[in-house]
Amino acid sequence: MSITVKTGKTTADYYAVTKTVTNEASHTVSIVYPCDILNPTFSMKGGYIDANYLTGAFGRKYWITNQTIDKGINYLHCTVDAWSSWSGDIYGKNQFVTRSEKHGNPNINDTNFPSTANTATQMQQGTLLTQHASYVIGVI
Amino acid sequence: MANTDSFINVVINSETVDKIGLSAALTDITDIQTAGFCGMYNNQFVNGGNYDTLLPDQQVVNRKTPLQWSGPGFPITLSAGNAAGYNFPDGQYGSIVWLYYIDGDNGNHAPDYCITQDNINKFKLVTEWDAPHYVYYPEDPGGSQAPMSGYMYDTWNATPTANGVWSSQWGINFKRLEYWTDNEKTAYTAIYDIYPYQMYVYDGKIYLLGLLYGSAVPTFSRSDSQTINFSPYNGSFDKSDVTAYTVAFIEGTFDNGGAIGQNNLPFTISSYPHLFAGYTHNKKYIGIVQTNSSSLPNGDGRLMLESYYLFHNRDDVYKFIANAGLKFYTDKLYKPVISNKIVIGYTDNMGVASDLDTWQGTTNHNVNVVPPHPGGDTGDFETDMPLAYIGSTAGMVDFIRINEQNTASADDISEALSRFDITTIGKDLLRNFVAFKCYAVLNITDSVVRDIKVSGHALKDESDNALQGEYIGGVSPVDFSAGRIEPLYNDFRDYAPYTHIQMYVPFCGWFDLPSWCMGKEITGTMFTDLYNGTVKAVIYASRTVVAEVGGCCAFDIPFAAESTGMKAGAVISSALNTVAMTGATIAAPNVATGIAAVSSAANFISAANANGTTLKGVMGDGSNTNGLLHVYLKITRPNSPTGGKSIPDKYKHEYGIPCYKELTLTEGDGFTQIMDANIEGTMTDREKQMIIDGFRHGLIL
Repeated sequence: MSITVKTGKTTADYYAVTKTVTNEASHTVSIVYPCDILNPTFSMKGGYIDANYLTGAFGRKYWITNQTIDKGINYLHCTVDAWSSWSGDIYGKNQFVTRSEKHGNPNINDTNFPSTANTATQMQQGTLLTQHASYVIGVI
Repeated sequence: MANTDSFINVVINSETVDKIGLSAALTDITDIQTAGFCGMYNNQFVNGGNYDTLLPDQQVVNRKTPLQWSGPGFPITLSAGNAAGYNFPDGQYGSIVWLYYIDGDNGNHAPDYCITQDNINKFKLVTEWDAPHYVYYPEDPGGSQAPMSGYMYDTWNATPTANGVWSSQWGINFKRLEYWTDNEKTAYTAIYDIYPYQMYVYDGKIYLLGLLYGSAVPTFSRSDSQTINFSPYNGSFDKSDVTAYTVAFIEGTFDNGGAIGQNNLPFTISSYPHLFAGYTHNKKYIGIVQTNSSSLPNGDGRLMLESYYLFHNRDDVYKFIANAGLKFYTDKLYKPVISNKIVIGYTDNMGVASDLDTWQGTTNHNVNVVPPHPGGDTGDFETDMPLAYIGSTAGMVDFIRINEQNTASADDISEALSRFDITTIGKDLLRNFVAFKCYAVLNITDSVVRDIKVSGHALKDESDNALQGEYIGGVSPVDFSAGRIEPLYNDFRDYAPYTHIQMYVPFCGWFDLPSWCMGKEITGTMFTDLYNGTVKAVIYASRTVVAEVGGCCAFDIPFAAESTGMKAGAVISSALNTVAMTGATIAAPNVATGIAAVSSAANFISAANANGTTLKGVMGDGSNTNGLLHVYLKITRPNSPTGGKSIPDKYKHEYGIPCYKELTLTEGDGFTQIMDANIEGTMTDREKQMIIDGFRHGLIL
């Protein structure tokens, strides 16, 4: 079965939900059976393509994890990019977030962040309380 | 809702008109807050914005909100910008009140500085109004908005003249000035050059005057019955409305010579808004006479006028009344937080540079920290009064300070003691001279200088002149400040267990402050116990008691040393007793009797000590007077492993920082870690688990 997919390149972090794909190009590829939709392989005529991302198959987005070329056929071995494929089910949803880049509370102790054993001491001088003593006698 | 055609839309929109720029420089006043400027434009009542507005009851409100509305107007919702609007029904009147004020402590306290003719120069006020002040007819038959009142421009940029009149660059002759005092109605006829939004001093009193403008201003008159009629109304005004104040009324006509203002409109001075019957405002005054040197009339340092804008639709009655107000203050425990020249709130953060500096690009407007003060009015609240106010009236002992100006010195006392004839008064001396101390902190509030007497016998110098000392009538607490504990990292590292805060108070030593003091102003009050020299320091972190520490600030002066003098005194006392019993001379005391007398004297010493006073002293009896005399804060922080103060952005991007709250996930949130994400969708179970695992690691949204 032949389908049309787009391949391209992304420099996005593996854990990025939203990825920018460049150099996109359409290809007609054949699904190699048996097919695991989470780890599919597509075949297409030609040699190596400069791409690491594939969209348009099974309504999902895939990392191109490897390319196997044999007798003029390029086999694109893919792995599903689950969070990018289903970003619509992620964004807009309420979740209890434990760590956040943008919404974190800096006053919560972060044991992951290293702390030095050596310290710096700051002295802050306040009011001079007295300068002149008073002699007092007590008499009955 | 009524047909909107029958209403005037009154719109306050800071974006539709030029803004008034106002700068202020005050000496001895630490901040200024201004509000004001509004007018009719394009059938809309517009606010020049950029100024805070204040309700007459002194609640700080958003500047886009009118201070007060009266009449049957009702709010309308406008879509443009930050506008707020009000409609006035046809044929009805309404008013808008704008209040100009200078405010610092949210009206909580009387200012330190009262404005009197003597110190008015301290309040050198420079304001500049650099935008026209328009008021237009709401609807003009010709289809355009005819100016109702003209250009209002005033600059305060001068020192008072000899008579305290603040001169302005726009001279307007004021024909007549009258004012009432509380007790009499006295008409003064004077010609001054006074100006809109003006403050002046006359006869030692402060007047703030707002003037009425408008080409269609009705006339008014004031009868001897102190009722002023304002046509077309027959409203009345009575002094009872302003019983708290002495008010100043102005009547007369401006003679602008055709040269005032942008539109060369005739200016007619007229009445004031409180003259309008049926429109009740909380503050019915137009000027305040400040005659009390200790507090301003309403107790919070407020000197103000109000601005009233009266509207009437369709009828040819349309009035514009404007006056201005000022509120002076000293910035104490509250400091205005100014953003874009707007007071957006108040803070008790008094340890950093005044926002006025930021506003004006100036310096030295830092506020003086006045810690909470027991029983006083300079602090923010009253604390319990400890037993610190102890003076000579508190007991049978007279405490006398010496070594001060015009009094005896410690040496004088020592000399005088040696001069006593012990054969006549030696016993009294020992019994009645009960203390000789040196106090490091002694804030005497009440004293009287007189001869020093011990049991009726005056201490005298070698010339037989009586020595004098300050008899202490009261000892007052001493306030101190350690400043604000500034956070360094602005994150969890500024708190325990990372950061350790210690405080030193003279005579009390070092002690820890809890983490929550971070960012707080640390102040304190020290109480001195005159009887034994102990001190108690109560420490506040932004007006909250955080610690109470004790120490000793006095040491005894050994006017008779314990080891020898005491015994010698006892022997002498014994000898005197012996003399009394046997009639023998002191040169031949009976040894056995002397021993018994020593025992008796020891009992006396014990009894004397039991009442908390010290009969004899020795050096170094527990005081800390040889320590540091400044208050100190010591903040110990861990060094930053990254070099910079902030947690690196890269760290936040790769690891995030603790969040622990429910969020709606949004693209652009960056690194987001969810330990147990709840994922719903039509993905496969494996994919769902992949997403959950991804969030457990942290996904970048």
